[in-house]
Amino acid sequence: MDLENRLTESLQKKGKEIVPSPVLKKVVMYHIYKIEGGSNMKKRIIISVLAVLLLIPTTGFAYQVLLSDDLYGSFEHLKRQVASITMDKYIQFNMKLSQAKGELGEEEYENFTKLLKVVTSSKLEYGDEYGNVDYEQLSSEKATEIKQAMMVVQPYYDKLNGVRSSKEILTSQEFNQYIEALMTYETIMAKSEIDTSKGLDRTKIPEELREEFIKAQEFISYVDEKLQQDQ
Amino acid sequence: MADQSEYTELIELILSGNRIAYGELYEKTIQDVYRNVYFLLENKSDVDDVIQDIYIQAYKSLKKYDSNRQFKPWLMGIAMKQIQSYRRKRWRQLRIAKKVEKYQQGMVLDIADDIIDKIDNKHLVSLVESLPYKLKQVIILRYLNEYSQEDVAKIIGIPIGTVKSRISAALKKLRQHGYNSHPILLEKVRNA
Repeated sequence: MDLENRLTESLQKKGKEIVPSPVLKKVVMYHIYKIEGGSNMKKRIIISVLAVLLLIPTTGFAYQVLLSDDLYGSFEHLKRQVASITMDKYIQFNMKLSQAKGELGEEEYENFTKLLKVVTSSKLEYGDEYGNVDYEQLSSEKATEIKQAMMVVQPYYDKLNGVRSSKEILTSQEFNQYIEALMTYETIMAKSEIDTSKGLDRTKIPEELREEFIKAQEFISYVDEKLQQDQ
Repeated sequence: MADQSEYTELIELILSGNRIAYGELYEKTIQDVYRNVYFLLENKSDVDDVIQDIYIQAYKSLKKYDSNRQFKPWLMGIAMKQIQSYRRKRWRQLRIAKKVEKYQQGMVLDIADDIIDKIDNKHLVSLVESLPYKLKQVIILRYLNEYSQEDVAKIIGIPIGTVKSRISAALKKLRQHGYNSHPILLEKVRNA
């Protein structure tokens, strides 16, 4: 083989071994959110990862909690991260955990984890392999029950994420729309059978769901921004 | 692999204020961008920092993006500029920390040691990595990404004639030192 072909072959082969860490995306997105108006995005990201970690020891199984930002990748990534966790990181996480506990207060913290489990157990029971639930497949009572739980849990997320409660900032109609947008988003992910651990492959979303998806995504984005401005 | 219309759609969404869509754009491009930066930086521990600069700059420049152009080469152009500015910043520190740097470089080359059957490829890659920056840059763009010489010229912002002469100089250098040569030659290439 000549040198040029060998160069292509060996560089591409080596290139395949070079993979960015999934955490890098979170850091980049943190900067992007920071570009207009300072925010607590960094904290938010850390806590959202944490919220998922909270549940691991009790079940031994990492499941995704859909938070309004870019956490959809975490289901698989987290498993990987957990598997590769070092002692140092473990201690760090532990410290964050007690910090969260401190911020919420003992009673609130317990209440939070209890409610969180309602939401996450639905993911275990009804979610696809990436932790996304198609809420349209559930009975309307079940879907309403989960929605109610999500509405109670969301303000806790906000608090842990260091932003003001979305329930307070949004009008009740907007808040309702926000929770619905989060559920729609997940439903479309589940319907499109997207492996959210590999990021979002927009082309996999069927044409008829596109518009609904973009609408939900835009609304979540709008709320995210609003929460961060209203510090 | 994403096609141009998909990029155009995503960029429209981002420009209308949808930042989650930027996360998608990131996912679609990061593998390629990351590899290029990795190859082009001597100090691998700075790769993540430069990647952040690239994506922040790309976000800021997105309004200036002309959708008649292919998106990937445009992004790669931003990547090259950011690497360049990183290198300028680094230059002073480099002089001071030259010895340390050399030591670290040696360490980095050993990263993929566990794959025994790749020794030849590995050796060739390390020869490329030790080329002078300007030659390494054209080799990486041309052979890792398989960009045409015209694209390479646009990405770096130099005349195509210069691209051609740099590629041929790089190939000559690689041949001269022989990709099957003993690792000792690495030092020679690096110091050439």
